[in-house]
Amino acid sequence: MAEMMFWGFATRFLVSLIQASPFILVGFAVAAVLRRFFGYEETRKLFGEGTRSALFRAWVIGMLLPVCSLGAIPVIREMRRAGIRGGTILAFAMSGPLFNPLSLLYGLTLSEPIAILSFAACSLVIVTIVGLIWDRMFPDSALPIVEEKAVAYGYRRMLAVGTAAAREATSASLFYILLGLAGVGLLGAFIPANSLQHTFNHDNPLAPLYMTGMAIPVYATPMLAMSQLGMMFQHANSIGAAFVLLVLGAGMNLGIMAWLYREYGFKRGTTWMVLLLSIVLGLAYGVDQPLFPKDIEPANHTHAFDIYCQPFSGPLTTSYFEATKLKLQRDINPFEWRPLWMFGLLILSGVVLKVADRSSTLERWLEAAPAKQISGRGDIVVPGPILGLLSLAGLVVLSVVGCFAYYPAPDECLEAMTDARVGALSAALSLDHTETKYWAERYDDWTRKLEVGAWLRKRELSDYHRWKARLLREQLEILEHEVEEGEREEVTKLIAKISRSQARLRRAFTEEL
Amino acid sequence: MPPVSNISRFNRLPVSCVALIFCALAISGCGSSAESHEDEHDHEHEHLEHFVPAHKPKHFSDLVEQLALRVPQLQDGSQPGASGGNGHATALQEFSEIIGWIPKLAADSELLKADFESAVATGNKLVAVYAETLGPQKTKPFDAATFEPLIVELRKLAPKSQDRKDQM
Repeated sequence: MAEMMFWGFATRFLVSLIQASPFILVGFAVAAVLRRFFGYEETRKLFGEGTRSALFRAWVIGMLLPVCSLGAIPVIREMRRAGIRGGTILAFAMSGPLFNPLSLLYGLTLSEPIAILSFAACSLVIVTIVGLIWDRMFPDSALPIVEEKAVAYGYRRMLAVGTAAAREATSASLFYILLGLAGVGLLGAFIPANSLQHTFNHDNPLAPLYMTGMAIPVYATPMLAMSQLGMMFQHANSIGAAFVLLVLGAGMNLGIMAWLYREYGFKRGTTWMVLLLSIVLGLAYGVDQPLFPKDIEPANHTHAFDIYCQPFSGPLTTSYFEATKLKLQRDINPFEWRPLWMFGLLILSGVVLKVADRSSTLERWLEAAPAKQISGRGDIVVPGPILGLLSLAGLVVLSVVGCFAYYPAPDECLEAMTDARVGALSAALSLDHTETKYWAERYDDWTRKLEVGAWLRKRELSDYHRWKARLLREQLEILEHEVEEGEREEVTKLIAKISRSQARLRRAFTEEL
Repeated sequence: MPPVSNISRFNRLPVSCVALIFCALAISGCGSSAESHEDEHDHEHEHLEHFVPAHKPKHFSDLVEQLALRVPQLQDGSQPGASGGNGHATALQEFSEIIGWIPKLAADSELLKADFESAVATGNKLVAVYAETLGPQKTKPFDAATFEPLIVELRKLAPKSQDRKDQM
């Protein structure tokens, strides 16, 4: 039992760490850009500190930047150092991880895209109301403004960004990030496998409340949260619970909570949490019925939370170590390991700097401004904030451009779908549930990429096309259940049906787009 | 004067609210865990279901036939002096749901895009006619003749909706 819990923790912790790595790297980069390109004064200006638009700006910046709730940690620590008020910082912390261009587009494939837009609007309501009340109650929450030394222009400025990121990666930020990951690990250790499948059914009035209890230790990347929302909509589960999952599951984690209490103390931290939970729950119950998908037959379960339960159930044929290794090999694509190595490298650089340069000699050298050497009319010194803005805008542009790579053209999606289809159907034929589930999830994912890829390139997608993809997903879901139940006859019928649906999908996206 | 009074007013707020939220979570959580312990054994074997109502047509042609069959029954139920009651209410509910399945079953057929859109448009007209004559806010008396041309429209699409080999 203890061994299973240990490996459950390790698996969930590692998978989440790997998925979070790109977003954590972005978080450290943004924090370093704010520190070295903007500086404290310009950072305050960027977030509209002291103005009425501060909360809205924090929400917009959060929405645009591709960070997750772990990647937000170095950024909010930098905002705090810059002397920004708590309401604004927490508004960014809550909104940053909810959406990014990739996940927003993924949301378009949900049965009710309007729900995603409503969720985004609700998140603005949450951060505005909570931020306004909190700032009014605790107007002195900002740290005193401190003078900072500007960094010299040229290559030193670029180097300063790198060193700032590396030092931050070995600061308390790392502790909070690991704490955030520990939350999801603990769920994987203690919650029995598949035990949350019936907790969030649409007819359970307490579903949003249960979700509130569970979602804070949950860590989800924006994309993962969106795909979980997709599953919840597909099964017509509780929409209120889906909303709570997005706001608290994607937006909060134990690390942010610990930071909140550490920085602002028990009373202020608790006030924030109480305000947040009250408003989130109120909105969750408010949207539960109006946004409920009307054209879906509700299922009595969801699979969205299987990934937060123990990953192993029943007796294993191999050791837990081998089973964990196998699971990681299957669940993590080879390219997903690279950001983790980069994150490791960043931490290593930070450690080296900490050990070799305890008195920050490097920073002092970087801050020693050389005399301006302008060689001609076209040679200008670009101000740091301009570079900072360009860097942040570059991140946003990169994530938008990245959408075209992540969501390929329909032809490529249909081609890539073949492997997943063959894998899912042949596994189903041999009634192998684990294999069927594995491949069906990939097949499902490709149908969503197909929809978004087509929409990105055509700027429109008809109901006809959306239905074709949705039907295929529904059939895959039923296939998975029938395989689990060992219903050979039903499986055979479904395989024929899925093959027909695939042919119609192909025709729709190649000949009728 | 620092905003002491402003803060002190809220001194007890966090603690009280935390207590309330924990109570709420504990009560709901306890209920859940008790229930889950009770049903633990059943849950292990519980079938994960996607509810498919018995009156859901198997395919698009079946849907058209179901609509055609049910309109005269609704006519009978709507006659002055008809008993109405639960049976009629169920019939209305099922009829409304069948209309709602038009897009799904049209998509799950061999209908091409133009025909699918035509089926959906006809379905929308049926929804409007249903709301006018049978819905809770009805403004006109029920007349089967208003439904029939629309069902005829759908029936024209039925042969095209069948599998290619069946069409031949």
